[in-house]
Amino acid sequence: MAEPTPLAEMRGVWREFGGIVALRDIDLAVAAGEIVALIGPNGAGKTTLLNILSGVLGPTRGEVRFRGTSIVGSAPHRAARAGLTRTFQQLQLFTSLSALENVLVACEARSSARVDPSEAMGYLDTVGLHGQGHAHADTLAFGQRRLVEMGRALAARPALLLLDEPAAGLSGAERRALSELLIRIRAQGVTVLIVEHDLELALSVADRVVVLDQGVKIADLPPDAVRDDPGVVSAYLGTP
Amino acid sequence: MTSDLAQYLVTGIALGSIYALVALGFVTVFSVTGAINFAQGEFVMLGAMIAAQLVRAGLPLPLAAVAAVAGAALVGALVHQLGLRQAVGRVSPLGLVMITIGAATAIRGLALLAWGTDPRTLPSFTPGPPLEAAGAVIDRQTVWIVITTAAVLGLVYLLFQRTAVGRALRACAADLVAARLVGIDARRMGLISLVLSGAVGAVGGVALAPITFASYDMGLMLGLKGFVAAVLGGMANAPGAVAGGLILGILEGFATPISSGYKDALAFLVLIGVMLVRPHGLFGGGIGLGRV
Amino acid sequence: MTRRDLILLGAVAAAILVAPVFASGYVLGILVTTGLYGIATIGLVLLVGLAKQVSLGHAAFYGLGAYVSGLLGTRLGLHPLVTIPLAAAAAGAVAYLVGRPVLRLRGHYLAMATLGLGVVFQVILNEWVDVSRGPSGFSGIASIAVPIPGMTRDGRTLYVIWAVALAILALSLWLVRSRAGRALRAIGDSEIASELLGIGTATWKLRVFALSAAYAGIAGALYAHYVTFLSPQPFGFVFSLELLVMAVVGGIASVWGGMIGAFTIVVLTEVLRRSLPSSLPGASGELELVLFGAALIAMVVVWPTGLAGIAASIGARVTPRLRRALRPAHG
Repeated sequence: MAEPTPLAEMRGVWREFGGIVALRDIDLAVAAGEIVALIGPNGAGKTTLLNILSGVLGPTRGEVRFRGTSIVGSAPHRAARAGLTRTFQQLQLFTSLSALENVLVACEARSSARVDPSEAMGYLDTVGLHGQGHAHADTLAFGQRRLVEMGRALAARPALLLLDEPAAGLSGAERRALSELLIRIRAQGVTVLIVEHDLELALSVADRVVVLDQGVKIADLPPDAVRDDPGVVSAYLGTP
Repeated sequence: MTSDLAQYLVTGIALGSIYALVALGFVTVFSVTGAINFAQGEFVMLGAMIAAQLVRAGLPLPLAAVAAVAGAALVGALVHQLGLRQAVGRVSPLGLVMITIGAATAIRGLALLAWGTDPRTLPSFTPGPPLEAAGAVIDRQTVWIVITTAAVLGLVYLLFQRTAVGRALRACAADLVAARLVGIDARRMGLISLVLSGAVGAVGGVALAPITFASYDMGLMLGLKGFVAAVLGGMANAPGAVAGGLILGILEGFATPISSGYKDALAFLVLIGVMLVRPHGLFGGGIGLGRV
Repeated sequence: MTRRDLILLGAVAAAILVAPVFASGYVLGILVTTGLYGIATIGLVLLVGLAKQVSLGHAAFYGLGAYVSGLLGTRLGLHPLVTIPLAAAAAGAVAYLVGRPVLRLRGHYLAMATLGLGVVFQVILNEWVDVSRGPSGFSGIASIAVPIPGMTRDGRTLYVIWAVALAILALSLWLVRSRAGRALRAIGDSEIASELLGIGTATWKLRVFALSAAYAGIAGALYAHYVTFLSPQPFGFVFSLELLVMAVVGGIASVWGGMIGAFTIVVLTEVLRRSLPSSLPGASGELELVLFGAALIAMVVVWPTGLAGIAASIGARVTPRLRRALRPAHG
C-alpha cells in the first residue's frame, strides 16, 4: 500500500555552521492531522530543525518539502501561504502594533478581502486573551505575549503549525490552558509540530515523539514508549 | 600593451589592499556588534590626516604614523562609548545604523573644521625612484602598501586565532547570546572591535596617503568601497572580505583607462551585481541570515 | 486618518493660505523650503519609520526628479503638470530597479546601496554633459507660481507646493493606518515573523522604497520649478543626510514628525547661517555636518521617538488635565 504524501518532510538534511554539524542526516515526515513532539537536550538541534522546516534557514544538504513541493531556496512566505506557519522561542511580536493588530496583520496576509476586526478578536478569544486586544504588544505580561503569538499564528489558518517552546515562561495554569488549546487546534484539523522542554506537556499532547541528540535523530516512537527507551534515557540523563 | 596590463594590475593590488583593510574593519564590527559601521572609511581618513598633520609639525614619519593609528583607534573607542555602547541591545538595529551614520558625519565635520578642505600629503615611507618589473613602473610606496597590508592581516590573524581576546571576539561573532551565557562581556568585545577596526583603517590611511592626496572627505568613498568588498566576501567572512577588497581593487585598476568619475561608479555596479547574482557573497557566508 | 489629523491638516492649510498676506518674503522662503523638504522627509518616514530600511541616497531621487522635470520642460517644452508626475515616476522606477536585488536581503544593505547610488548620480550629472549640462547646470525652467495679481512669486509658489505637500501628508496619514501600513510596520518589527505569516516582505519593502523615492522625486521637481535653475551641487550626500536627520529629529515613525522635522531643521540651519559668520567665518557648512551627526546620535540614544514623540507624550499628559479643567465644575 502506497503511503500518502506526508504534509511536510525532510530527507537527508544536514546543517553545518562554520564546520560544526548541527543536524546530521535527518529524515522526518509529518502526516496531516498528527501532533508530533520534538524533544532532546539543549543544543540537540531542535530549533535549527524548526528553522529549516519553516524555510527560515536553508539546509547545507538535503531536501525539505511541504505539501510535496520543495521549499529549499524559496522565500519563507511561499510556504507560509501554502499553510505553514510557526511561533518563535525568542518572541517575534510586532511591538509597534497592538495585540489585535498583530492578529489582524496575519488575517490580512492570507486574503485580500476586507478583514473584520471581530474576526481577529475571535482568535484572541481562542487563546484566552479576551478583551486584551488594544494593549500594545510589548506592554503585556510575558505569558500573554506568547499567547498573542499563538493567536497570530492561528489567524494565518495554518495546515501545519510549528511551535518552538510555546510553554517556556508560562505559569502552571497557562500551561494547562495551552495543552487544552493544542487539543482543540488539532480537532480543527491543524497538524502540529511542537518543540518543548516540558516533557510532561509534550508527552501528554503528542501522538508521536521524535528525539534529537547532538544533531542526530535517535528515536521516533509513541509517547508512552519514550520513558522506557534506553537511548532517550541516556541522552537525557547521561549514560546510566 | 602587456606592460599596461601589468601596470593596471599593480595599481589595482595597491588600491585593493586598502579596500581589504577597510572591509576587514566592517566585518569585525558587524560580526561582533551587528552594526554596519558607516564610520569605517573615516578611520582611514583620520589615519592619513593625523599623520600628515604631525609630519608637517616636524614629527618623524614612524612616530607620526603610530600616533595617527592610536588616534583613530581612540576615535573608534569614542564611537563605541558615546554611541553604540548605550544603544546595543536597547535600540533597534536601525538605531545602530543611525548612530554610526551620525558618528561618520560628525567625524567628517570635525575633520573639516580642523583641517579645512585643502588636500594634505605625506612623504613616501622610503623615497627613491620607482622600481621596474615586468614592464610595469612600480612606485616604492605601492610596495609598502602591500607589505603593510600583509603585515596587518597577519597580526589580525594571530590576534583572532592565538589570543584569548581573539577567541572571545570570534565567539561573539558566532553567537552573541551563547557568548554572553559563557560569561564573555559583549560590550567590552564591542569596544575592542571598534578600536581594532579604527587602528586597521588608520594603518591603511597612513600607507595610502603618500600616493594620493589626503583630504577630509576621502573616507566616504573608501568606506563605500570597503563595504562593497565586505559584501563581495560575504559580510561575516574576514578572509572573504580581504579577497573581496583585492578583487574590487584589481577591477578598478583595469578600469583605469575609463574616466575616473565613472570608475567610482564601478564599485556600485559591482555591489548591485553581486546582490543580484550571489547575495551571500562570492564565497558564501553570513549575509542575510538574520538571527532567529 | 483620525479626526485630530483632519483638524491639523485644516489648520495647516489655513495658515498657508493666509501666510502670503502676513509673512515676510524671508518667512515665505522658509515655508516653501519646509514644504519641499517635508514631502521628501515624509517619504523617508514611511521607508525608515515603518519598514525600518535606511536610504542614504534620497538626495539623488530628489535631484533626479528635479532634473527630469527641468530637462523635459526646457528641452521638449512639456508643461510642469506633465513633467512633475513623470519625475515622480522616474524616481520610483530607479528606486525599484536598485531596490529589487538589495531588498531581497535582510539587514541594512539598502543604506549602502543608496549611498552608492548617490555617488553614481553625482558622477552622471557631472560627466554626462550632453544631457545634464554638466557641473555648470542650466536655467530657464518654467515657474509653477499660480497667477494671482498683487502677490509675490514666493507666495504664489507657496500655494502650489503646499497644495502638493498637504495632499502627500493626507495620503501618508491614511497609508500608515491602512492595511499596507500595518503590514509595513509588521515587517519593520520582525521580518521573519512577517514572512512566516505569508507576507512577501521583499515586495512590500520594494513598494515603500519606490513610493518614498517618488515622493522625493515630486519634491525635487517642485524645487526645480521654484528655483528655475539646476546644477548638481545641491543633490549630494550631505543633503541625503540632512533629510534623514529631519526624519529622525521630527520622529521617525510619525508622518507629522516628518513635517515637524523638516521645519525644525530648516529653521535651525537658517539661524545657524545668520548667527555664525560673525564668529566663525565660512565655517557654517562644517558646523552643520558636525551638528547633524551629533543630532542623529543624540536623538537615537536619548529621544528615539523624536519631536513628534515628545509632543505626543506632552499631549497625553496635558489633555486629561485640560479636559478636567474644561469640564463644568460640580462643586
